[in-house]
Amino acid sequence: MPPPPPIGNRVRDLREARGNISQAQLGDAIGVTRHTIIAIEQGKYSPSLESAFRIARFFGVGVEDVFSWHG
Amino acid sequence: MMTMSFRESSGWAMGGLMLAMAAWYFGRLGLAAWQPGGSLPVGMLIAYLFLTIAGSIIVQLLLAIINRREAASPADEREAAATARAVSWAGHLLTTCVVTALLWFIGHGDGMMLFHSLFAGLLASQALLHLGTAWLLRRGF
Repeated sequence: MPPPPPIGNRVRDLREARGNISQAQLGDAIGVTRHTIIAIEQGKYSPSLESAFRIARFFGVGVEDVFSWHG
Repeated sequence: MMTMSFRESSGWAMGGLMLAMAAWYFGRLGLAAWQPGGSLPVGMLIAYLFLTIAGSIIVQLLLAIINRREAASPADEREAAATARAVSWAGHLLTTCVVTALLWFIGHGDGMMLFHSLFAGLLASQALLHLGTAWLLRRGF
């Protein structure tokens, strides 16, 4: 396994807090596949800045409320 | 749980197909064709190309039937990034094979060996492209 990227996220928490929105629904909303949402939640992939903003906007919060730097 | 996406399963399947067809081709070719002056088995080459193309169509068709929605969608940013990285690896491998084959040709002057070496390099780079993409999507990057 590669070392996890130094970027944490609360995507899963936010999904669950918003009425258990599915990974597929979130993926459709921001233009990525369900598997990419899974990879983001598992810390296997750091999304592009554009997708990070789209995710934050989807949940109605700021980017730093979703993503955090652990470097 | 991380299930397998269309592009990951496509990568494993196509990479496996490439390796299987390469093993079949070079297994049938045997040592005789590698000898200086050996003739190129054109019929086998055509059979290889036909079987690989037909196999690829069948594999892609089956995978698309299983996951119609993802198959019809363009690659997203993660899939495109994984493919770009695997393309880079495949390019390095192909370059290495071409340079090695040309150096061998300069030293030995064996055109048949040059052809088979280049062909093998092409097959290996294609297999690496597909398997590398699938591996990156599975492992993360």
